[in-house]
Amino acid sequence: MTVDYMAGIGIFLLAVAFVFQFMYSLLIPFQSSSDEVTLAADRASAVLVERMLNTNTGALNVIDQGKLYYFNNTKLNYSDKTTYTNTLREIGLFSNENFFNLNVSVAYTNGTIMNQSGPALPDNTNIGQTKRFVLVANSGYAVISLRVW
Amino acid sequence: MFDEKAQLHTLEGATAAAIMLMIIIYAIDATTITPLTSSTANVHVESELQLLGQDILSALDYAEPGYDSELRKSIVNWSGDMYIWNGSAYVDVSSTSSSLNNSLTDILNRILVKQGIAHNVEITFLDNVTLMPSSLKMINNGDPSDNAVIVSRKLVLHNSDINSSFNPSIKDIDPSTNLYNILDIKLTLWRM
Repeated sequence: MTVDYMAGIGIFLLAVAFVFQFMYSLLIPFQSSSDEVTLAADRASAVLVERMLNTNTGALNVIDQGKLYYFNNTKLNYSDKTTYTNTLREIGLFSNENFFNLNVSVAYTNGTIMNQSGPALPDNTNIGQTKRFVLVANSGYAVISLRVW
Repeated sequence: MFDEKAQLHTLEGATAAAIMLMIIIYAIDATTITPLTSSTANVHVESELQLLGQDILSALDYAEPGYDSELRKSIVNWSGDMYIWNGSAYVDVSSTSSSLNNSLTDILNRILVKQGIAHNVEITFLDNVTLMPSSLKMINNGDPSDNAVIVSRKLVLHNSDINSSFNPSIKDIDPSTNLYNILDIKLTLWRM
């Protein structure tokens, strides 16, 4: 009887320990593997806002509307894979070592979406997001959200 | 008296104690893991706030040649009173009927309030008598938390920028020149 009890309670304790160990990982808000995409998103946002779309007037957060439209409609057009890949290469998200996907959405400060481009977001991968607040020259303030995975 | 039951009771006690201990460890660990706990995730939250704050200040401080930036207009037309966010507007602490409405508060309202980011705006300038930095609070939402992030931007005011409605506590640092004063606009951001 004692041996039965010990065997039973031993298995039971192992099961309880496993459940507790498993539950920790459910509660960790950010998995360590999401760091890489977050950093990639930060890097991409810097290149995009401070160089590619910049009006070159010396102000960091002022972007050109024509460049923004061209970027969204042509350069990040997912139906044209060659241009899309070249754009990723230019932003630093595509190289021989790594490959990320990029989705960019631009919204006015009242929440209205101005533009959205890139492939659709996946359901079950870590997505890194960076938001940049910019002034679109002659148009108004906008928030650019970059999502990288 | 001498039977197998004592051993069983001892084991039962030990098992119960082990389960209790695991629950306590689990509860302590679960409550302390938040995005603000010092970790790589926490660093990310802070860098996100810093990027957002810098973006807001530098985008607002952009001006076409010959025009004043929105940030400059907001500061120059500020009376010097302290304002607090009451849930729908930035109201004057001394008289809640008057509220602050300028480009700065408009953006803070649309970007920060919507995301639940608490914020203070403080103006630091050189006092013309002591020549030491002196500070005034423009928007005050209380004491920031330990994880607050401060971003700032310098603004140079000339005599021509000053109008009659300008905050009287900020004095001309050198009346003999066209320079009026140099302001440091500090935006403190934190998540609660």
